[in-house]
Amino acid sequence: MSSSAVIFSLAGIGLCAIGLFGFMLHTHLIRKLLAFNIMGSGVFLLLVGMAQRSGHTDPVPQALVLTGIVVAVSATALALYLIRRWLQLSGSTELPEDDRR
Amino acid sequence: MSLLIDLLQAALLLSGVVMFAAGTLGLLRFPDTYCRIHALTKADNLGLGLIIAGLMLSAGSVLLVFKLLLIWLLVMLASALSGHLVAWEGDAQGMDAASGDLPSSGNAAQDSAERER
Amino acid sequence: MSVLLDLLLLSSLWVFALLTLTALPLFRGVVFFILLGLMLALVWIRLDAPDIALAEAAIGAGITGVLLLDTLGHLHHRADQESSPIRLKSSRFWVALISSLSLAGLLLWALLDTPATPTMLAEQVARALPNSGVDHPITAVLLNFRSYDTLLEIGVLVVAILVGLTLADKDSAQLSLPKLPNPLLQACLALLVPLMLMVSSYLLWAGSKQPGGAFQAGAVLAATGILLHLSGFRLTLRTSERLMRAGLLLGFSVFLLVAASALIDGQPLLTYPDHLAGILILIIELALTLSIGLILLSLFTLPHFALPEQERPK
Repeated sequence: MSSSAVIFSLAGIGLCAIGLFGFMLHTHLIRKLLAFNIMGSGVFLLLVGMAQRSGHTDPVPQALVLTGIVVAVSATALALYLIRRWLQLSGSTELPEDDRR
Repeated sequence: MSLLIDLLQAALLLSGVVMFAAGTLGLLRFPDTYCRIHALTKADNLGLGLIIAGLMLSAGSVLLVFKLLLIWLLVMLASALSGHLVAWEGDAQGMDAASGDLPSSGNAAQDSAERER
Repeated sequence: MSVLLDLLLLSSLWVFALLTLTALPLFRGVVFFILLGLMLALVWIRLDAPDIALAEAAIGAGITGVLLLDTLGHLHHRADQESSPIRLKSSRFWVALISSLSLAGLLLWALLDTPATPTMLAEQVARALPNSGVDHPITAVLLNFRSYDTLLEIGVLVVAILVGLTLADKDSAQLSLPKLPNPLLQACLALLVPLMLMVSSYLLWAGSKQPGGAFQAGAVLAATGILLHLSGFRLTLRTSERLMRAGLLLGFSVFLLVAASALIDGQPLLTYPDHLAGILILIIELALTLSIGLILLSLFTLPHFALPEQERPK
C-alpha cells in the first residue's frame, strides 16, 4: 500500500472539485479556462494515483497522462485564441448567456 | 569523520534555507521592485549555492557533483538575467527607485511588462 | 516523514488552486496557476513519474503560463474590473458549491470502492518490452503499445495550430514587440540557446532508455524559440512560410506514413516489425520533436501577428 498514491488521489479529487466549483462560479472566460485546467490536473493525479495504490509504478496511466498534458496545453492555446477573438469581436471577456446571478 | 561531514552538511543546508527565507521575506516586505529584485537574486542564489554545496557532500559520484554545480551556475545565470530584465523594464517605464511602486502591486514591473505588449 | 511531505504538497495544491480562482487581479490568479503547475511537477516526482514531472514543468507550467500571461497582456484593464465572484446570495454560488461537493463525494466513493490490487498492465508492459524497440517502458507505451494515442495527440496539436492559423488575421499582421536592444540579454542568449538545443537533443536521445523523449525535447525546443522570440528574433511564419508549415506537419505526416506502411504488409495499422521497431520509433520521435517544438512555438507567436492595432484601447 503506497501512502503517497492515496494522498495524491485525494489531492486529485480535491482539485477536480475546486476546478468544477470555479468553472461554474466564474463568468470571466480566462478564469473558466484556469478552472478547467485545474480540473484536468485533478483527473491526471487521480488517474496515476489510483493505479499506483498497490505501490507499483504503472507505465500505462503515466503515458496516458503525458499525452494528456500535451493535449491540455493545445486545448488551452486554442481556447485562448477563441477568447482573444471573442474579445476583439464583442469587446467582452464573458459570454452573453452567462449572466451574473 | 562521517559525523563531521553530516554536521557540515546539515549546517550548509540549514544556512541555505535561512538565506531562502531571508530572500522571501525581502520579496514580501521590501517597498519597491528594485529592492525586491535585490533581495531575491542575491539571497536566493547564495541560498541555492549553500544547499547545493550541502548536497554535493553526499553526492557519491563526481558526475553528480558536476551536475549539481551546473544547476547552480545555470540558475545563477538565469536569475541574474531575469533580475536585470525586470529592472531594465522598470527603468524603461520610468519607475522611480525612490518613490516605489507602479500602480498595481505584486510583481509590478513584470506585470506591466506583460501589459506593454 | 514522507507522509508529512505528501500532506504538505497536498495542502499547497489545494491552496494554490483556490487562490488561482479567487485572487484578484487576474494576473495574480495566473501566477498562482503557474505555481500550481510547479507544485504538480514535485508531486509527479513523489509518484515515481519523472517523465510526467519533466513534461509538467516544461509544458504545463512553462508554456501554458507563457501563453496565459501573453493573453493577459492583450486584455488590458478590462480583466481587472472583475469583482469577487463569491456572493452568498447568488444561486450560482450555491449550485456550484453543491455540484463540486457532490463530485468530490462521488470520486471519493469511487476511490474507496475500487480495490487497490495492481492491474496486470505493468507486468504486460514489462514482458513485451524486449520486443518494443526501446528500453524505457513509458516510451514503449507511448510509441509502440499505445501509439494510437500519440498519433491522435499530434493530430490534436495540428488541429489547434490550424485553427490558430485560420483565426490569424494576416492583413493586419504587425510586429507588436519592439526589439529590446539589451546587450546582456543578447550575450546570455548566445550562451543559453546552444545549451538548450543540447538539452533538447539529450532528452530525445535519453528517451529510449530513461525518462525523456519527444514531448519533453519538443517542449524545450519550443521554449528556446519563445526565448528567442521574446528577445526580438523572429522565427515565424513571416520569414519562411512554406518551410514553417512543412515543419508543423512533419511529425504527423511521418507518423501517419509509418503507421500506414504496416498496411502494405497486410498488418493492422501501427504495427511495427519487431526488428525495425527501434529505428522506426527513432524516426518518428525525431519528426515529432521538431513538429511539437514548432507547433508549441507557433501557438505562442501566432497572436503576435494576429491582433490588429485597434484592439488596444488608447
